[in-house]
Amino acid sequence: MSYCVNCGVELDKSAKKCALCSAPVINPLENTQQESPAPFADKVYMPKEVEKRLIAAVVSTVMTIPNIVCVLLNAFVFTNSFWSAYLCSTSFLVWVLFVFPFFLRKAKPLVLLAFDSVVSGLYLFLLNHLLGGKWFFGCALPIVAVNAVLVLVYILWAHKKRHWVHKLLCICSLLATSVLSIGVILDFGGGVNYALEAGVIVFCCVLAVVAFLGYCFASKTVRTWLSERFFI
Amino acid sequence: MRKNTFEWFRLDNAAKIFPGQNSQSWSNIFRLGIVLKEKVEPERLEKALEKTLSRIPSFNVEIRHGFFWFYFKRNPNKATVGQDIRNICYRVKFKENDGFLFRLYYHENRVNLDVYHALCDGYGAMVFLSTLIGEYLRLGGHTVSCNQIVLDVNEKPRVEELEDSYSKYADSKVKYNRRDKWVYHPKGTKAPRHFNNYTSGTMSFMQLRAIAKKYGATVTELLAALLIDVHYKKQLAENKKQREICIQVPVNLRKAFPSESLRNFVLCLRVKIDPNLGEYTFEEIIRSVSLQLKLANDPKLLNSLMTQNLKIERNPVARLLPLAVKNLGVGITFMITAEQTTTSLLSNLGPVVLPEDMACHVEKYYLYTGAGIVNSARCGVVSLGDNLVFTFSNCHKESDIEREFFTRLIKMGVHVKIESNRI
Repeated sequence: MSYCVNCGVELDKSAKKCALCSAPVINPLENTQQESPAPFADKVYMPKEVEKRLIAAVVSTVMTIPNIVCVLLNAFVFTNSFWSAYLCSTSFLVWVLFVFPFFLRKAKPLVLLAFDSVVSGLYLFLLNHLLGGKWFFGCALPIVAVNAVLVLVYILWAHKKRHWVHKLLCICSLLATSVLSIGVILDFGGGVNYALEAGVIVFCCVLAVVAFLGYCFASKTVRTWLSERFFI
Repeated sequence: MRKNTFEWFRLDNAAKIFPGQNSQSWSNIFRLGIVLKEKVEPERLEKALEKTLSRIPSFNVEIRHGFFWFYFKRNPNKATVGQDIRNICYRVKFKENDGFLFRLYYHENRVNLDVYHALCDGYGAMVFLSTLIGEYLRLGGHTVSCNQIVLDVNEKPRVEELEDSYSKYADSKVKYNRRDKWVYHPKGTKAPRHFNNYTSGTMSFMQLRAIAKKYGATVTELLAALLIDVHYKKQLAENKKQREICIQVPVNLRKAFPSESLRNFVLCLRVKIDPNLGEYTFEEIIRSVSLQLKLANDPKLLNSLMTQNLKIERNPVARLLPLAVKNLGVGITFMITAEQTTTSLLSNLGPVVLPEDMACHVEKYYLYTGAGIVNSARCGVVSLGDNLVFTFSNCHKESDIEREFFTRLIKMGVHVKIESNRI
């Protein structure tokens, strides 16, 4: 019989290391580890998992059917405009954003972000083209680009393990930045009245709240003072 | 006895909760194992299983969805035995395993029974496994007598063994409502999906009882106090906000009520200490645990707790809710209460008393409670003769709690032998 020198427990004859501290079993007087039957079997049975891809395929099929029907109706019955293009493109965007990730074995956030941004940009370009607007290069593209950059910043920042409060504060800050950027772009690129003012107001308010909460979270003195004064 | 008694029956009060807790990676399943003194023959075991299932029909069932409730229906398939696996107590799916809610494995001289908790509690599983092994030995030409836990397979099953004892005995006028806080949970690295860590320590029951006696406590109280102390010291070392440490201790209600049911009839008591009250020595913890258990283990209090648990089941509005809604409710309640309000679990099946002519063929029993989701180390205890086996079921890779627990026992003078499925 072998004993662990660290833990003092007796080990099973088949043990090659201590189950509690992983110290290897070296017993020159007793070389029977290989022959003794182990208390646990070696076979590992992995139960079947629900196939995410199968569910994604079913959802994709269900989403495709109404689109095909609409395209056929547009082509042969209600032929006055390309109305089915709106429906199909929106449906495709939804599919890319919410269904496509389930087809991937291991979704990489950066690749998904790049793909989603490109598809969102193309969708908006198509809408701009169909509606005959001139807002794509001035407004839509910069908004998509800025938001993609903000999400990229969050992904890179949250790559390391962070406290949930920090995550919440970061998301709020990025949302505020997004609103401000949209305001600036709409004001300068789209000529929307008061968009910049609205963006600045939202940004400043959210940032003030985030700064206050961040300071409270970081400072033990403030936390103690708050819990003394405002306990329920 | 009516013919359709064993065709289908309702789930008992405790069992109603378990299907709602099921997920893709976890279900409430535990393992009861037995170590024989001879190598197991699978063909003989399968024959014994067939006979045992006809004697204890509450195991020969599959679970079905009704509109309002789940129910058990007699399973027409033949149950089989299989070679043991290393990732024990993996999750249950109702349509797998030919619909059976238990899995019987053999490995060398061991027979292992993985049971879904909706079928029975530890006592029910103990009766099933002991009866099965009794019959297995008889088929091998040995003489084995019967007793309370080794049933005679030639007898007919009795209605009392299938009754829902909760509904029968819960008649308190007062419904005792426990309000539990969220408590301390040790953090750790999650073990791979479907592969939790199980470690058991075999020790001398007499040695342990002598130590418990020195502290004026029972073996359960000593082990619960030690488990609390290990968590208490671990939390102190983490130097964070101190939370309560609460250990769930299931109590076999058959000792308080004259039930013969082989289904669930168990209630969980909670013993806790609050580190915010001040520093605790081990002697203080054991005293506190001992008093708490003695105080809570009162049949009248247990009755009121049972009645409280049955309150929702007896509510006419709740009964009329469709099963899917009930499941959703159970799932959400389980997520925000259940394990969140307990640090660990200590289930002690107590000393097993086998007939003498059977005990000489059996070395020991062991109980794996099944790993939790946030409870890092759940413990099962069972003893046969002088062999007491204490097992940890851990959902974390780290083994610091097990190590601390067993080394503390060694320092007390108890000899511990370790086995584990860790690779």
